[in-house]
Amino acid sequence: MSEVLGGRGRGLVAGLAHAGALDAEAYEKRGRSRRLERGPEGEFSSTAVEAGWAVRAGDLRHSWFASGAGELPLAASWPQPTANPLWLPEPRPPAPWSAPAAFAAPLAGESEARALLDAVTRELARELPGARLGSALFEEGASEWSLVSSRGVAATGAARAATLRLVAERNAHTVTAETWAFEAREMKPLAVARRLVDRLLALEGGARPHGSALLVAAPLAARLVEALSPWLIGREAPARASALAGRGGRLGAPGLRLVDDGALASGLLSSASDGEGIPCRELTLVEDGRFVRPLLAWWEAESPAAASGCVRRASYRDLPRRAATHLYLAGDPRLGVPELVAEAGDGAYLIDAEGTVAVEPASGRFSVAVTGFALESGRAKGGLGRRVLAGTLGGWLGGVRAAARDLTFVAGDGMFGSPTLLVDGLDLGVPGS
Amino acid sequence: MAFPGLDPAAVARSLGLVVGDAEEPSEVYFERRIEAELPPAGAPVGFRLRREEGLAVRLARGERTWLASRDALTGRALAEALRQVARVWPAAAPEPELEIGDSSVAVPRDQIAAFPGRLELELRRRLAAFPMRLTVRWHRRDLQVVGPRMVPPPEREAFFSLDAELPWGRCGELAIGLGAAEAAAFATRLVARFRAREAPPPEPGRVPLLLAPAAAAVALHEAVAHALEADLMARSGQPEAALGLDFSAPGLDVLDDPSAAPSGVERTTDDEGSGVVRRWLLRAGRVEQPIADATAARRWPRLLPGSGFRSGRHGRPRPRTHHLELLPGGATEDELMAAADGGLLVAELASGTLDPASGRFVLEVPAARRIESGRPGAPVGRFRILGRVAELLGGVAAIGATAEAAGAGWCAKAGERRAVWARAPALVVRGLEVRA
Repeated sequence: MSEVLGGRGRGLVAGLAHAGALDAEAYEKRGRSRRLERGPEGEFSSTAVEAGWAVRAGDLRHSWFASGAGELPLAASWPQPTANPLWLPEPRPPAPWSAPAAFAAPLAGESEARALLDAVTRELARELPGARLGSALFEEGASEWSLVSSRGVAATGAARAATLRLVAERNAHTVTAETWAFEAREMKPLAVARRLVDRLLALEGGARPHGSALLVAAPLAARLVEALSPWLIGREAPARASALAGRGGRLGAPGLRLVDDGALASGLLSSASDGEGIPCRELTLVEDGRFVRPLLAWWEAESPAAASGCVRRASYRDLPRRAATHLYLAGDPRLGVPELVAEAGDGAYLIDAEGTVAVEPASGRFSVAVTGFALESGRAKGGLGRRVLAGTLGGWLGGVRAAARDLTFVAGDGMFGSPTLLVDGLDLGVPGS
Repeated sequence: MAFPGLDPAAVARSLGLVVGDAEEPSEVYFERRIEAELPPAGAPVGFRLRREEGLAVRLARGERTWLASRDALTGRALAEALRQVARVWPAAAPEPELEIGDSSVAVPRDQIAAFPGRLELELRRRLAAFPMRLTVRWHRRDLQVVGPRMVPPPEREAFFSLDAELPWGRCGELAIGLGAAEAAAFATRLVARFRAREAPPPEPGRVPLLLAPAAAAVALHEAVAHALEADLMARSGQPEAALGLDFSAPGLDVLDDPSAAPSGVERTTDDEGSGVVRRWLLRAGRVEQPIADATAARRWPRLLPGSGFRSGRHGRPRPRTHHLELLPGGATEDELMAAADGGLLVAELASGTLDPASGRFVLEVPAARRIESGRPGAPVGRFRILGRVAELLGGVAAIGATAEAAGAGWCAKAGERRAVWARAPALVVRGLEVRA
């Protein structure tokens, strides 16, 4: 972490306090990123170096916000306040945390990024003749931030992530897959290609499952966790979650545990503090199938200790807002996916979403295009083609019979995770039915 | 002046040192942006002002393009970006001189602050009151493109946006000004949604749809503009192969003309410095000229550049619409109503999406009215219109005689958002699916 970042913030906050603002906060962020994109138009390579800042100042009656690119100014023509309140948190000691080890490593160079895309292209063609990459996008970036407030909050953070988004085609079928890692070098071209191949083959099939068992693979289950997240955030969450609950007020099946952890050591968004300097920590939201607590920002928690540390800033331009960080359904460390497949017997093994999960906010009813394979006696058979998985979020949580240990995260407005699940109570249909 | 002190000739000389072939797309892009925001009453944190500036250098060679961007307007930032795209910097070349001064921009704060009161008055006039959280924003973007051989004039876009959060959904608007007319028009939209808030959705099926100008513009944005963007067309074939194809009913004339956009957002050049063209996307239903940027025009020589727009300095130029026009037909209001009798009158669309691979689109309708005996009847609640581009364009049964500026909104492509504008008459379409 740079020593420079944060120094100007302290000076600015002190200056604003001296000038009469009761409360002030300065946020600085800078980052660098590399992008390599391939498509029908050719290859596009870009690098960006970004730097920006944000300042909030005021009191409980009047306040303003300003942000800009470049270095935080120590003096500027700040906006005139309007009659909106500003409240800032008191400092709280952060839990021990260290920045990702890979943070300081250089980003992948253009030739490394190109080699990665070439390798995926090659593996895809080798694993499934006739399959090709329609387009590919590699991105890698690292950033660091600092937060200083007149209340005494002083927090820093750093993050790094690489993403790969691929569109593969064969026989008029197209699949889009994304994968995430701390660093480009952690990405395995063969594993990525095999995921694409599985989905293309699954889409080309027309098998009908003979049994009713539904095995929902981790990436698809993680998308359902993402769809559930609005029910778990804020003061209104207990009432909303109770509307999803089944008999006995239980939100999920016995043994089901749902967690959000902003400091998750292996998480891409892992941080000691959230976007307002509140310590991040592991919080169990659903325990043994019962709703325990929602994610609460410090300003809506009954006591400082109850604050979740769940406030994020999308960029320096954006105000902090509540959001899940690493929201995941905990798996069973004793249960592997092969055992779960064997336990499923006859039915369907749904391997991924082929679109976004559409949810009705009032009822929690959802539907999502999926694909996968028919299961016979615990063995994967022919591809199912494109199917639609539908049900209610409450029915899904209540219908989880078993969870494996292959916790996998997908990116959305936060990171969302789940292991492979064996579930009851969901409908698998064909599109348009 | 947005970039006082900028010496385009000096920048062009620096760029010329790294550009091999001046025919390849290459340029330096300078940008300054301001967004002023008045949040809803009671929202945490008051008036919000966001200012940004920076530059990007782009260089193309063959099928490869490089872009380097920085959040600063300095000689050092320019030198770094030039070095990064060229990978070499002539040993004898001096660091480019770039001394751009601050620009003083007057934020129209009084206009922004007065608008909530104006809107409140218009709502009262319509005898309506309901909870609402209104955000008012002003956006301004100044840009200057400098190429190795040419320096187009600086460009500016300035406009307002409104965002109302209602218990029954969001309602947004883009506007050039914030006067009484804009307050009245926005109040009319909000009240229509309020009155339809508990109305049931229409029965699923295929009924005639009378799309008012704002709805017609959004539908054509999805079905014509996105469908005829060269980069999206290239995903499923050769964009040039579409030239001359019968794409829609013969009466449909659709253009994209950035120079004809409303005053304040009109453009003479695009974000690559190419002159904009009055581009006939469809002439009498036939594809004449897809939307293309310099990269697409270089790859497919029958395409014309002039529609390369970016979300900002960190984004690449992409083929995008700026101001879409549907030319008027001959149908009077009575004839439009008669052509859609038994169907639905759709005043506006909340959003639309197109899957370029399949040509399927989904249009979200926040509220509408039944058309009964040739007149607007009972309101209906939220529903969706689904179909394929060919169904929409082949199903046009009547085109209104009067076009108006309507349907402006935010367009997100590849995750990059920019404001787009339109002018359209009303349209009657048959054969599309309506679903709750």
